[in-house]
Amino acid sequence: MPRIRRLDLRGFRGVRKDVALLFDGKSLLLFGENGTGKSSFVDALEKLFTGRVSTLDGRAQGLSSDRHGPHIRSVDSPPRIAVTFDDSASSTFTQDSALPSLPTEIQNYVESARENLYILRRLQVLAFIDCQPRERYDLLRPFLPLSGIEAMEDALRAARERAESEAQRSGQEVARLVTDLRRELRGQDLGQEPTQVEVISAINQILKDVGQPRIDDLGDLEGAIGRLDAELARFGDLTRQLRLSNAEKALGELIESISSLTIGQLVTAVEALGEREAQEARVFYEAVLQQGIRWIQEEGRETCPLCEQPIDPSGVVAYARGQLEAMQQVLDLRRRAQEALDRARQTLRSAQEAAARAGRAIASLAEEDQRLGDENLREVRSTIDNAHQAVSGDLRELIVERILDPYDAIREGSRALRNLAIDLERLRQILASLPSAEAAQRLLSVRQRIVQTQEIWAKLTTARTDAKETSIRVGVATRLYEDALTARKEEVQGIFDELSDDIDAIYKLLVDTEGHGGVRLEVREAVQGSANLWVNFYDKQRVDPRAYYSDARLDMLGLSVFLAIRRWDRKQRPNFDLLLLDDILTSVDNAHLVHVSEVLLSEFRDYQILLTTHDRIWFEHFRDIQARCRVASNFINKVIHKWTIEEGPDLREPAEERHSLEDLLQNGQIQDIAAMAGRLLEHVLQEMRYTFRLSIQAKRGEQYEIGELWPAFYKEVRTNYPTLYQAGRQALDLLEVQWPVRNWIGAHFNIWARNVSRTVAVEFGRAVCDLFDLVYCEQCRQTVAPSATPLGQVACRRGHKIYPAPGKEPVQPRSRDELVRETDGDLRDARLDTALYFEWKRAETGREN
Amino acid sequence: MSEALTVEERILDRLFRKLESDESIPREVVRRIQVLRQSGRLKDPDAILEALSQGVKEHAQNSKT
Repeated sequence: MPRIRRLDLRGFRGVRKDVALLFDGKSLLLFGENGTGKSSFVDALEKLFTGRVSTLDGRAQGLSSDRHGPHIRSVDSPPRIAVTFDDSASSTFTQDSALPSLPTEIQNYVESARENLYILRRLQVLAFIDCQPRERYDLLRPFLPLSGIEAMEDALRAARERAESEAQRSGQEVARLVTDLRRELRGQDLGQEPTQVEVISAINQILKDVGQPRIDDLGDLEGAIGRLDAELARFGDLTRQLRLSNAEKALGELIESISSLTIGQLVTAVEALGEREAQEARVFYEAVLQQGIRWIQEEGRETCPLCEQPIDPSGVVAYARGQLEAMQQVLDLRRRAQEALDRARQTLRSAQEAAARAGRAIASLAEEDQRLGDENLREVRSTIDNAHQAVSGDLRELIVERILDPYDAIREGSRALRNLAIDLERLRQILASLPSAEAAQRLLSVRQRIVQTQEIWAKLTTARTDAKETSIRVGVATRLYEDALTARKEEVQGIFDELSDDIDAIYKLLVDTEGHGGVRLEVREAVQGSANLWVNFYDKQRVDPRAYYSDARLDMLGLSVFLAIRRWDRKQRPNFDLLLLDDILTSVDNAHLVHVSEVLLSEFRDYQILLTTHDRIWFEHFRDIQARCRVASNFINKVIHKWTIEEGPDLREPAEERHSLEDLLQNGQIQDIAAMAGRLLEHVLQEMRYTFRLSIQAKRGEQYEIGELWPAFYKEVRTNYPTLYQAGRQALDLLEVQWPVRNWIGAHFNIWARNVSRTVAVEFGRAVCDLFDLVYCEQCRQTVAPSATPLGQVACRRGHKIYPAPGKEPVQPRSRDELVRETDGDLRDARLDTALYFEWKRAETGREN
Repeated sequence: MSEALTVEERILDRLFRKLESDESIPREVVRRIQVLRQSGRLKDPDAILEALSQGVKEHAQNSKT
């Protein structure tokens, strides 16, 4: 598995000149005061791997990593970010790298790093907790690759909607055919949904009126028509009369259909609705109110379904119901308008059919009857089509003017309707003028009604079958869609349950307190793609953590969520182990810092971690715990000493400064010697401040100077660590005696230092070198520190350099377990091992009580 | 957490277990939807509607016989 060996950076964020952060394939703990450029390294890794920096891109309008990523004084040269891996080829990945040119394992690493699931910053710790349920689900989306399932759900929903549309059309077709059937069998007794028996009975009544025998089955209709034709044959060739009669009937039905149009009622209903809605100054979402009532009641909710704020459920339901009641009139008007729209569509469809029949009948007339012409009919048909088009949309899309225009052209008293009536009258006059007996006309009429009825019934039978099938399809499609949603919710909930268990386990490691825990992520049933986060708090079950947890506990919970998610993602991509934690904790106490350190160093020991912090105490804890968790060899601990806009972060090791000072002592200028010696002395004293836990008056920003650090260090060494004092007495006393030089020079050469002679400067520089050699172990790459035991001994971590306790032999530093077992009585002095320190504190507190 | 199946595969498996036990969905429809899954056409509304239509028709015919 590849790991990062080094990160090279130039001209990006707080780094102007070339800086390398050396990982050597290990984890890295990076300490620096605020504003020393720590986050520049995290930003650089994020930019290189994901192409963006989440603290810039998308955070606010106008902010972007392309625009604000480059160092403000490196405008002419583009930033350079390069990661070198520890694979056998020492592969280097930069912004310009062609991915296919890299080894496969590096390609896989870079691909895995594209999705930012491994970087946590202070600002983001609470992001998961302090957001809406839908945003929370969105934050989890990268872990739930469900685009395929969502596409399937969309397709199932679309299929259901289409099935519903088909069912609606089938229903309308059945209703239209029933209307047509009633018109053909007018005067006969038909039920709401005419049956075959009723139709046969009605036809038999019509046949009886003209003296024809009855039928027993609709299959006998052909026989009945044949018998009518035989009867009509007695009247000679009646083709012309038959066609004229057809045309007269069809035209009559068209006029009747037009007269039956209910567009006027539709217009009235739509206008009434529009006026009432216009009186309402706001948009009325009755569906939202209805759904809201349902959610609150069915789910027993105590929070708002939309904003998650606590609510009074009965009060909110009563209010929503009141709103719905107040708007009942609007709802009634809306329902009536919808009904009027459905009726209007149905009557227009019937009119279209009647017009088509009239057109066919007139076209079939004999040549001598063609003088009637069909110009007027064509105009009427076109107008009906326009009217049908105008009502084809949704109720909310209806435009009254668009309906009224065609309606006015065919309504009662219109020119078109008058012309149709004139045509009808002419047809009747022609028919009357023909040598046709009244009986023949009656027979003809009956024949036409029976033929039409036969045709309509056949269509109605097919339409009813179709309607039944489409209705079943809607039911099945709805069920399919619901099953898909349920399957997704159940499976996601299963994943959430596993994730919740992991979050809870990590949280309990971080917060070892009774009454906390029970972390649960839940898919919200009422809303697709939405997630709730619940916790327990003493006897309160399933509560919003923000209601009861302190800021520090919320920080711990946010960190637990991130770490559980990171671990989950690692299971999917086991060969990608990067974990970047950028100054994540600010408001927690030492005990929590220790717990966080222990969890990171034990539960996440197989990750390559870059952890930055501005908290020196945590830095020290973390460094101590590395040894206790036996991961010290996996970690590099770095300190950013200072930052300037020109030089960027100063990552130089004290040993490098020691060598530079040595060179300067040979040939350097006075001011250079003084400056370098001052800086090295300050570095040493900063280290001593923490390792010896020097007592210094607190100062804002913890920017202590040499003059403030030295007296405490000198006094501590001389009083409590005599062997160390004796070993470095000459240098220590010289630095103590030369306090004016020491204070004048400080960490930086200044005007006072001009008065220092070269001899004094070299003497001072030599003493600083000796002090450095006294306390710094080159093998451990760390300074010495007081041993946990025995009291008064000072040693490096692995015992290369030991200043024994007075009168005692040097003792090799031992593990915590050994110390606890062997030196229980010396715990009071174990100040540098955090766990022992806390044990001592607890014991001390117990004694005080 | 199982690593053998992806989350999507697990959801689909669960969905088809539901469909198999859902008596309101004809077997003929389930079979056709299963075929769509195998041919990667579960994201196609036309194919789903066609499977529904044919499955419901076949079910109606099988019910008659």
